[in-house]
Amino acid sequence: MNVPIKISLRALRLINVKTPHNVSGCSMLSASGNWAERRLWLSAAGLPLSRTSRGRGEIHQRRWSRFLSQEASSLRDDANAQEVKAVEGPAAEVETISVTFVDRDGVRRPVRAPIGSSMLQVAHENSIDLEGACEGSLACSTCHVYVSEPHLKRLSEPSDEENDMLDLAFGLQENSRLGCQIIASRDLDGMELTLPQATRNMAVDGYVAKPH
Amino acid sequence: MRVGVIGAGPAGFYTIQSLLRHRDLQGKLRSIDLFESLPVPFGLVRYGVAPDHPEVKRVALHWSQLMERHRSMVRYFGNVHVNGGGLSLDALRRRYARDAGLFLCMGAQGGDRKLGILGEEQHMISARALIAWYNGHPDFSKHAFLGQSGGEVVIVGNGNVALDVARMLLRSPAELRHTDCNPAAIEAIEAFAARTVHIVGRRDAANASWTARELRELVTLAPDLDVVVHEAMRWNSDNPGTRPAPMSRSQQRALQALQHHARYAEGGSHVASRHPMKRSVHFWFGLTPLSLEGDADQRVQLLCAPNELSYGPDGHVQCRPLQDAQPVRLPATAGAAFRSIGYIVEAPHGVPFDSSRNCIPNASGRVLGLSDAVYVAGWLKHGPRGVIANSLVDAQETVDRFVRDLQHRNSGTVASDGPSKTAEPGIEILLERNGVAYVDWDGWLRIDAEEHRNGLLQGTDRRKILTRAEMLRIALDTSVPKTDTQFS
Repeated sequence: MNVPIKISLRALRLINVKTPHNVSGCSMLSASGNWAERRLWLSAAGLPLSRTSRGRGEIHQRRWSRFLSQEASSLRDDANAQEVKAVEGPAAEVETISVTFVDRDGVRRPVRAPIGSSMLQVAHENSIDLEGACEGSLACSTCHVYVSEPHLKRLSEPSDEENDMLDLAFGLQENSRLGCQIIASRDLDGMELTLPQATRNMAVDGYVAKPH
Repeated sequence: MRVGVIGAGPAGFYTIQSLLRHRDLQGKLRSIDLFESLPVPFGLVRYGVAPDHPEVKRVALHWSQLMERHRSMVRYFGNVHVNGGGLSLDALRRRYARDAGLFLCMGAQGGDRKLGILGEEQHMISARALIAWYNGHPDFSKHAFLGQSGGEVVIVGNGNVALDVARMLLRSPAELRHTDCNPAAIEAIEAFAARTVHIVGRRDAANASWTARELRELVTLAPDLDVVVHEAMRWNSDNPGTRPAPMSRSQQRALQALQHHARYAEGGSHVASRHPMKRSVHFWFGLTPLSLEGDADQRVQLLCAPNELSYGPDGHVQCRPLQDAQPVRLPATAGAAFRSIGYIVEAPHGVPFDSSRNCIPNASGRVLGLSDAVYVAGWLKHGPRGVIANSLVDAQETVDRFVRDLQHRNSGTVASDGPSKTAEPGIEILLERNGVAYVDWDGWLRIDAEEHRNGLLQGTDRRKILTRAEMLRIALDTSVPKTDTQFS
């Protein structure tokens, strides 16, 4: 189901909170009746477009509400939180759990993770250096983390797709998972996620000849 | 301190990212100059990753944001072919590698490996060229591949590139129209209508180089696709004392995916599809290609010898073509026999090359045998293999080494910036003086915006500009609106 342009204006207000200098682009969107232009601006804004009517630049409702709640939670601690609440109230009240990231230098970084958000999102919201090159679409292994033992068992088994990417992860261990696939829930409270030490003091020549 | 990076692909961008993020370089870098031979950035993310893998290409958005955040620090010089007229590597080494560092991130520029068999020059096409064509690379976009209809394909090689080619040729054109695939390629793929694809490798299935994701994607591509495995090899068991090296997790899972989705053909000979209405993918293991012959029928035949396989002392599988065995003939439509057996690294003039390892000799990224501070990352560093994520780890290691070298030179600390010793003109002035019309980041953003606009009109995210001339026209025309990356 598609949501007409009215809601996309709300989206633009949300984006205005983050990037006020883009007002000109936004007004171009709202003023334009041209679906091609509209779609250009929506996709440039990273807004979720409907799959069924991609050409028309309309917004996919379910993905849209997920987007909103993600955006709202990422902005919750922001100075602009009040404005976000004005846009979309409920997401601001999300329950959180405690998660500790152990970075590449062994420094522990305790953070709060909203229930339902992925550890990749949580890492980015807290400026933790977890890569996430494909933005959680299971097309890379750059958000690879080691999960603390008691919590590892509480995660559902990795899918084939996640395993395919873990195959390629640097420093794969028994407790390896992709951060984008770990979703915060109550039973993960206290979880510790360690970032793999990819590069420090690596051997001079890591090259292993492969036969052809 | 000013550093230079040559090559705006994964290795180049991850090198820049690692430089910008390194703790010990904070506040020490004055500028990073990025040189790219094409007008447009992103290298193999744009021209190598298959069009039907847009999620893999998302990494380019991260790099765009990186460039946007560090606009004052990182300068992009597109359409600057180092050692290709206008700017020499020696000039760049003088400029960057004496006091700071020059990073070579050009990937494998030496083309692709050849089989060295009879008929190859005439009848075989490089998979790399085909990929560049369907991705709209300006040097390949006007080629006319797949001109002959017939629908039979042979691909020699057992890596992800071979699987990419097979998948793209079997993918439905309707799906491709929603990608950034070269429109001429979509038309040609549709007209070609691949029915039978043979994928040929010398070793056994367990020792193929592909990864499970790409393999599973191909074998589950469409309900009308019959997947058949042919094992043509013979194992030599009287070779005592050698055992197979343990399979990596990736190899195990790829093999499981194949066993799960394919049926095994009886005997080694060419078996007709059980389902005449279905399209089919045939995996041929243990075959050494011998020659390619054209026939009057607008077809070519790849003649292969079955191999005897054994394990060498290191546990790796070894192949020897059997002279006495009946050769296997695999038919392909003329112009649809492809080779995909690896890429070749080429060292730029004045830089050492290790031909046995197919890379530039280096210690943790520092090029060996040069007195100035030249570094490598990506395929130049470790040979042409590995996925985008590997180049991240790899670039971090190179930048770590660069920082250690700086600290060593300056006895413990990274100097913020020495007095400006260079009486040399700015790089822009040098380029302009040499008549190089370079594309800056804003120029790329104009091309980017134009490609998005063209895509919108055709129901997709992006339609690539297919020629350098058109790219330059748009990039250098300041009246063309550019993508506002701060918006995303």
